[in-house]
Amino acid sequence: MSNLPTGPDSSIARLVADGYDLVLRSGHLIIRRLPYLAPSGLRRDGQLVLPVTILEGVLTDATDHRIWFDGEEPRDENGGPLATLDPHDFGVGERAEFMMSFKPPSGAYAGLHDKIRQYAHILRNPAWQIDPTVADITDGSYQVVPDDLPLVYPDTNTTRAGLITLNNLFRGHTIAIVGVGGTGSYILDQAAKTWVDRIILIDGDRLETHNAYRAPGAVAIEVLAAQPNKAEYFAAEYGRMHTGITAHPVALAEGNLHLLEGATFVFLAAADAEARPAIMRWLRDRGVPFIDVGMSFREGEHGLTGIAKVSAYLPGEDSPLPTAPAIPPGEDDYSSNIQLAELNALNAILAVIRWKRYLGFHATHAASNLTIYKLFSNEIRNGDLE
Amino acid sequence: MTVEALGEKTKTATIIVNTRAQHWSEKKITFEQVVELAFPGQPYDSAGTTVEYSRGHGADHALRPGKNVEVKDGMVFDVEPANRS
Repeated sequence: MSNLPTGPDSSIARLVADGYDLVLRSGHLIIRRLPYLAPSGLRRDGQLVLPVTILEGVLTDATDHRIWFDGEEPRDENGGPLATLDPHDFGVGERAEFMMSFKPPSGAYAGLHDKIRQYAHILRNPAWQIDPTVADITDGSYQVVPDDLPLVYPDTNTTRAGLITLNNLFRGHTIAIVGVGGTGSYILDQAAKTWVDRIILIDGDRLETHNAYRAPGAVAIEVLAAQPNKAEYFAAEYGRMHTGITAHPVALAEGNLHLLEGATFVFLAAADAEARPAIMRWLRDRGVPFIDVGMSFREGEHGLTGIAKVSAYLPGEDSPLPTAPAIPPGEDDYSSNIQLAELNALNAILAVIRWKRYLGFHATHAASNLTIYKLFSNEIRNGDLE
Repeated sequence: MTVEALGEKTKTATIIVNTRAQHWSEKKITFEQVVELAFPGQPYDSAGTTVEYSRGHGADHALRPGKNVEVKDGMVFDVEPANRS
């Protein structure tokens, strides 16, 4: 859905006229059935793979003079290597093992057409030497395979970085963010850039001026004047990028826990979640993994001090759940009301990293279910819930 | 002076609780004592209170209600409800 070109592209039209067999898929232009010389000394067919950017129907090279090759190691006339081993993902489980790097005398290719023709010839010429039947391709074609990602425009960051297989770990997932305040909004800021199918936002509060100073982006003054619900505001904002966001403009409590139905991972980021123990029990009973984020900061000597805390409750772990509701902020005598965007954002990012580690997107050497950032010591500690 | 004699001598350590220096002359300190140093005389919910220590003996750790930890000069404690987001 997100990378279907809407108009013709002149480079593509010329390549098709030249006879190339092209497929646009997963943010890559794949040029198929290209003859080359294999290490065995035989002529084989392989394909060139190029990450591209697609904007309003126009394809642009998303890399420099380099290109990737899917096949056996391509050789030159003397059997020397034409490529180096440098794998690049271009689809789920699809990987081009070799990278080719030939700069034209001018320093840069004139365009997509020029670049692809040059590389196709670099591959073809050695094959020609040993197999005179290798001819220029004559029946050009172009096929666009639309993706079904829940994104408004193509994720060229993933294709450029060659991370399609890892990003596929997000597919099929529904995450819920309970509380879209200072921390929850930054969790959304990251989650909206992943391939999760759906994002459920739950918050009963209105967006007011002070929230604007603890939210990603810049809230327009007209929006603040209208005081929209936070969940609905952020769903609309991030709907510009992710198509799977739904908002529930209510506070989550024991009576409406069904709003979490279908969630495969939940972030609890509600400042005043009196229902927190009930929510946590509900999630654990259903085997839904979740992360609880909390922090507090106050004036110390020579500046602010405090901690940010990420507690992960994952299936198969028997870490204890809190039995009493968290003290509503302001009602415990030592709670402070100091909250700052960078600390909210840090806590949110620590939670998102923990989630991605759980999914296997990030490698994990030590599985700890507690992360604490101490501002005064400027240290992050891994621990376990006790 | 023998090692035992050294151990018996009362030494006051300086510990830092929520950035403020405090003097502590006992060998160990409990969760409840740390919270009391941070917020003297204030009621609190121990289950909802996080006490963390750094620069002690061994690795950094949490101090749980009813538990204690050996004090080291220069040890740093953080005491927070950590209930905001």
